[in-house]
Amino acid sequence: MDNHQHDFIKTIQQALGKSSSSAKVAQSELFGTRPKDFENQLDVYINKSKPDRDTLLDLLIEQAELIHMDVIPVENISLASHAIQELVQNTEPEWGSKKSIIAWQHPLIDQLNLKETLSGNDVEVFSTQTSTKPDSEEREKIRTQLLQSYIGITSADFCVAESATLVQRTRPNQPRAVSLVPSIHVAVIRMDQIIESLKELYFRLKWDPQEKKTGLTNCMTFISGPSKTADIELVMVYGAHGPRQLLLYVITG
Amino acid sequence: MAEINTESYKQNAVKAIKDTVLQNALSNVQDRLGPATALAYENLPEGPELRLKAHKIREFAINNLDILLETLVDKIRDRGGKVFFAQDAAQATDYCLKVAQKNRVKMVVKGKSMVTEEIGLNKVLEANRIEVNETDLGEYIIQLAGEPPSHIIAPAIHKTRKQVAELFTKELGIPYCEDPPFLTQAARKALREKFLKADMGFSGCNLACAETGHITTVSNEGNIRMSTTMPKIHMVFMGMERVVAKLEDHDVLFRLLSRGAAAQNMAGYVSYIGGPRTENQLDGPEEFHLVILDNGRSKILADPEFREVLLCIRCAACLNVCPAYGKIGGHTYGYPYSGPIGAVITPLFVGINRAKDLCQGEPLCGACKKACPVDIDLPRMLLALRAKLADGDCKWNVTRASRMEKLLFMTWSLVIRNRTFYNIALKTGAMLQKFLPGQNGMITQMPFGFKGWTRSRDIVPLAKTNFLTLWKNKKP
Repeated sequence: MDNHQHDFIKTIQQALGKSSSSAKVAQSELFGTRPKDFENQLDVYINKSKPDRDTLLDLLIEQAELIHMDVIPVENISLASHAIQELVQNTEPEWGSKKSIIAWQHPLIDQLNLKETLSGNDVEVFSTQTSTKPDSEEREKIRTQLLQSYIGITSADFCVAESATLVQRTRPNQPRAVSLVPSIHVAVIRMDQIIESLKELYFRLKWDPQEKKTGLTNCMTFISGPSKTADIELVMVYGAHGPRQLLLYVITG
Repeated sequence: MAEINTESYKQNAVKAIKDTVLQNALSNVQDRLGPATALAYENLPEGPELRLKAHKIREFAINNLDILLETLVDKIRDRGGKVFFAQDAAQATDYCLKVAQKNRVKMVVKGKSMVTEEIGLNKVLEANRIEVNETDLGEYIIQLAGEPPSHIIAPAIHKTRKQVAELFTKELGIPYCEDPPFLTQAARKALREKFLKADMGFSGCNLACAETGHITTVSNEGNIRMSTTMPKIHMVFMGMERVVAKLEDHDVLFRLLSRGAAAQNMAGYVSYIGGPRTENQLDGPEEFHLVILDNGRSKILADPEFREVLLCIRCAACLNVCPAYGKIGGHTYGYPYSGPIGAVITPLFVGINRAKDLCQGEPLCGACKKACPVDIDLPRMLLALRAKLADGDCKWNVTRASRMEKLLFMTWSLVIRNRTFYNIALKTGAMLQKFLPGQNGMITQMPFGFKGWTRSRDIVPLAKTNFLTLWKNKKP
């Protein structure tokens, strides 16, 4: 199908008073050049001191409170695992009666050992691990498990303290819907994944060679707090279409 | 195309002002969001001045729109996304319909999108027997009620909880209850089924990023994430101006957009989407389509006087402070875009003469400029539109709105520039005003075309002796 691109862009160029030959603008002018002191800047961002990290955690907790999001610092991964077990004990599924939870296949999440600690007790734990090239059958299976689950457990790439924003990039075995469809979203991150600001986030995504390798992927999601709406008389209600509750465990040790 | 009812602006305004329920709702929105946004700007580390920086970012993007759009679409195609450029509403809806029919789509879910309102997408789909479900709670409410949106980000703000409860009882068959959490839960339940069954999901685009090749969507409810993750096909509708160059431009713009729209530090969900899912990913759409829409925008771009309006990121902050919007509400504007932004952009889209009341109804108080996260000078453009209406304009095909008005102003201009004429006019006026109805030393009704001045207030009569004469006769 003709997508009209040529005429469309030509119309824009005419409107801007450009001839198509003058349209060449240096990429650097459009998208910026790497700052001269980028290595220093990156070093400042990546190697934060312990007190600086503590300050960021405090800022994160303070900001999260404003948006109804629980940030819970825990010393180590097994304490996080305990906390999640308690959460499962003390909460009820929204849609069915069976307690099912679904967790990302992810180095940090795997350490929670949820299958071992939670199974039995009438709790079912699903993992999103599949083959490297999942077929439609596998996708359908995960989707069904996802819809049965009332708690979704994920990690994140970063957490921006100034606005309490979790940043997730799409990867294999880490479906985006785990942080969206279940009624409760639990995220677990390490302390050093907390960053200060959006400015820091974009800087790292853009200039850090490690981050550039991954890129933004085909879906990068920012999550700040549980799903909410104020569409009826501006009354704030949590749990519009996404999770009603968002808990973030930060491993401090 | 969306329905255009801009001609009934005046009648609609009268009705809206008499509607006490609407008046309460509008004051509620403006009292809460207007000052909260102003405070949020003050509390920015960079202060409200950050808006000027945002203005520059958007201006740079618009001035390089051709290259940025090409960069964006190249990257999206590299990831396997499909891109379609639509010159007008019909091309956009045709393309959508073709994709839907090719995939035998029976039911779709939609995230909130003003552009799809502008092109009248729902009507086209419904006419072709495709079920359309709006999923933003506000949009869902007005879809059930069969009404257009009355606010850019809070589309059902004119409805009370009582009205919503009655509507849901009737349409969803749930027990009557006015509790907003209960009503939200009912919609959550009803729409969850739709999300899971839908064959296709639609979204708008808040701000694309050319450098990385992503569109972005912003929501608080999570409905847009649902619409763009669960169905097999995701189609994005994007006004062609909604792109910026650099990734870091989003830092300034998202912080300001969130504050302008709802006085938040950050919207609940922001998604960067750059194509369909890859073969190793477990979810996300199999097909990704981006429709980029002109529909009158290139004409605005070509006019340096109005190009600035394309900087707009549709946050609705100007609605929340506008004294006119605060009284007449969104429906009065007769087109999906309301408030000060609607008063500028609607005439440019549908015809300046046809929508003349919109730009003439705004008070030029400047509140919208102050509230705008990207510091757009809407009052300047309102004045420019009025100038075109006063004098006519061939480029925009504007005919002079009123010959009589022009004649009056020419006469007035002659009179005040000549002392003798002016004195004669004052004396004649002072004599003739005796025949006008009055009360307590005030004139209660002006004659002929001046009646409007005394419709809701009395006017002070001309003094018997004017100030200049008094001054001259003053004994030292």
